[in-house]
Amino acid sequence: MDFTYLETLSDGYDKEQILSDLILAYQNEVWDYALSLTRSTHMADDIAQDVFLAVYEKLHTFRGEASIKTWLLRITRNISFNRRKNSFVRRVLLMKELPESGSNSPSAELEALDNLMSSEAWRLVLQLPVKQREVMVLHAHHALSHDEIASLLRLPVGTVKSRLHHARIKLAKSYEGGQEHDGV
Amino acid sequence: MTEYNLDLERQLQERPLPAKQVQVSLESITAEIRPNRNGRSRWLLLTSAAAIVLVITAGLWAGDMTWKQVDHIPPADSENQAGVANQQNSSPIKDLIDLHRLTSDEWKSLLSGTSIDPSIELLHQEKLTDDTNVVFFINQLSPNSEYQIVVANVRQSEEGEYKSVSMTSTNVSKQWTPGPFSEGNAYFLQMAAIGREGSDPLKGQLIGIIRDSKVAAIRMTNEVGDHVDADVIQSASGDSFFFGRIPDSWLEGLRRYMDVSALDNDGAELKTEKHYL
Repeated sequence: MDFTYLETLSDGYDKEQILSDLILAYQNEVWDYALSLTRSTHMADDIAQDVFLAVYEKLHTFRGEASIKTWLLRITRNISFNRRKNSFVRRVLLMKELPESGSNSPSAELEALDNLMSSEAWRLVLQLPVKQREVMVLHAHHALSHDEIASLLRLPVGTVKSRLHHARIKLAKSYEGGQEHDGV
Repeated sequence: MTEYNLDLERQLQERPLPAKQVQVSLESITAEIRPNRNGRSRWLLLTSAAAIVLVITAGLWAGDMTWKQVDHIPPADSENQAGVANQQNSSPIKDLIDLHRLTSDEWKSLLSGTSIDPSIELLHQEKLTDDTNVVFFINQLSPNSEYQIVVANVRQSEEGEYKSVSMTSTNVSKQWTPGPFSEGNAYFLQMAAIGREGSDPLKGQLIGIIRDSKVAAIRMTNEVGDHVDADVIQSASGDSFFFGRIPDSWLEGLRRYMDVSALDNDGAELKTEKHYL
């Protein structure tokens, strides 16, 4: 379903109906991206709710500079990172970040999440540093181009490619099985 | 040097938790926006939430789209001149919930063509899968050609029990505000999507009522020229409705669109609108 018409919304449109359609079309993408950023299913649930609340409030500001999907993912990212400003949330996140800084004992929640994951690839990606993780997820899962990722993250395209390259190298070192590919 | 792994990236195309059912509550969102809502809006909110819970989806594009490409709009005929206000934007959620609660026996009767209510008439049904039918029916709201048009996804359990798993509807009147160039005088359409249960893919339909008696066919044409004609069905009351399945392949990808055309008996286009999918 395409939402291009949102670029030309006039007064009197059915906001709740549009929101309902956006939820149906994109709730999984929003939730998946939030999960990849926070590595918490509970936070992803809350963030998904907050994202569509923000969408409801900001619907009139969408002007089509980006696709509706990129716009939603940017809101998802902002809300996910804003949650770090909350002290309780930041503390929880920092605890979850511990494995990245050398600890061999992942948090209980991350461990539980690991058990839910059906794919080794996702388990490994969630262990990447967030900067590499989100580029990898946006590229491989959300199928965004380098340019779209650069626009979403407000980064130069070269930086996006560099982060993707480093993410791939890290993943290749720890991933077992599958078809290998030479070069980036 | 081996630097990355294609298989790994293919795995990432799948969802991280495939079984995860995301539940975003429309009710919570609207309640947060409007904490001091009055009784009427409270009812609307509750019913909206119920609509989400029931996984009812509804299409848009009733008549306010700015991007319509109208080649030709036939002038209103005498029947239309007597028109009443169009009801295409109203949302008969309460009635829809009632319909969603039809019992297995009532579904059996309806699907077999037996009336379960004088106002309800089955116009079309077809199999989606071995155990699922898509059902198109009307609920006549008044003698003045005002209807609730409904598409339901009806599933049969292994025990033979029927239930609707998703449903969408809209109110529509055959009449339209008079005027030589009023949009919508040829027909009213809605794109609807059903099948939203768990990971079921959306199934798209085009449903509507024909307003201008010169319209003999409704045709959907995609970007590459493939076309599908909707079934035009006459109700017992004498009004004509249409139902067409939007091919699944047309719904894949972003920024897809189709043209919907009203054709006369000679196949000439009376009106064409562009609709994004």
